Amino acid sequence: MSTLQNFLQGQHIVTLTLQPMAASTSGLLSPLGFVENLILTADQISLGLSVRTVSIVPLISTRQNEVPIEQMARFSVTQILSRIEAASYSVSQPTYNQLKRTWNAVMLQQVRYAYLTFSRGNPGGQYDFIALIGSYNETGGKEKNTGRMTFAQTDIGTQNPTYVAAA
Amino acid sequence: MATASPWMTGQHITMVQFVIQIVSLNGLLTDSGASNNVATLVSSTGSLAAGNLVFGVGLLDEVSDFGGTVEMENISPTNRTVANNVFKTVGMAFSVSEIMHRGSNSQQLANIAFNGSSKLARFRYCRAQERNDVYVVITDFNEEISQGRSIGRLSLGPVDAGAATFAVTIGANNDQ
Repeated sequence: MSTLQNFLQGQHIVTLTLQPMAASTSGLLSPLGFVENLILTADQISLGLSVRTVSIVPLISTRQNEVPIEQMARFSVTQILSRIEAASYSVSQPTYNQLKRTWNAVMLQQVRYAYLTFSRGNPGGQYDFIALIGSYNETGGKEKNTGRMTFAQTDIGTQNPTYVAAA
Repeated sequence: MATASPWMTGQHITMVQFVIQIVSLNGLLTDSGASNNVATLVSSTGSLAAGNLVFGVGLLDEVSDFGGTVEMENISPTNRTVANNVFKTVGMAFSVSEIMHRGSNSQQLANIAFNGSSKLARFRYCRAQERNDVYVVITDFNEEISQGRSIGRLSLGPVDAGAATFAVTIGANNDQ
C-alpha cells in the first residue's frame, strides 16, 4: 500500500465565508443574517499576523532586544468576478461577486465589518476573524477580472482571529 | 444541457464614460453634454443574451483598482496588546486608461482633463448587468509616448457628492 504526501493545495480549502456585520452605536456587532460563500470563486487568499515591536536596549547591553507591543492580524481575499450579478445586496445569491456586493454596501454606508471563516485540510486548521473592511480593488483589463478585499483587525475583546489548529 | 463558466473578462465591460460636472455657486452638480466634457471609452447597445450586442466605441485599455479604501485609525489604549482599527471615511480612488488613436474623438481623457469645465466628473462603469455611477475628482493625467501603443491614464480620487456619490444598479445596462 502506498501513501501520498499530504501537501496542502488551494483545492483543499474547506470553508471560506464572509458574513457582513453592522455595528450599533453601543459598539455591538451583529450579523446581517446571511453568509456569503466565497469558496467556489476564490482566486487567492492571504492572511497573516504582524507584531509591532519596539527596541529596548539598555546602554550597557550589546545585544539587540525587540519587545512586542501590539499584534495585528491581516486578511485578504481575491475573487474571480463573474458575469452573473445579484439582484440586490439584500438578496442572498451566495455564489458570485460577493466581495463587490459587500463593497457596494460599504460605499452605501450599510456595512463596515465582516465575520470571516476560513479552514483548509481535513482535518485542518480554522480561522474565525471579525474585521474592519479595509479596501476593495478590482481589475478591468482584458484578461481575468478579479476583485480583492482586504480586512484589518478590530479589538473585539477576545482573541481575534481565533485559530483552531488541526486535530 | 451544457453550461459555460461565467467568469468575467474585459469583454464584459459594456460602458465606460466620464461626464464632467458643471458646478453651480451653491455646489449643485449638473451634467454637461459639451464635447469637451464627455469622454466615452466604451459604449454598446443591445445584449449578448438577446444576441444583438453591438459595441459602438471600444477604446478602453484598463480600469485599474476600481474600488476604494477605508481610511482608518488604530485607536488602542496602552493596556491592550491588540490593534483596534476604527473606521473614519470611505472613498473611491482608481485610474482609467484609454488607447489613443488617430481621427476624431481620439484622445478623450486628455480632452476632458485639459479642457473640461471642472475637475469633477460622474463616472459610469458597467460590467455585465451591473452599472456603477460614482462622482470623482480628476487628480492626475499621464501620457507616456513610446514606439508602441499610446496610452492616456486618468487618475481619479474621492469626492463627497452626498447620497449620489456612489450608486449601483443591477440590470441597467447590457445583459451579458
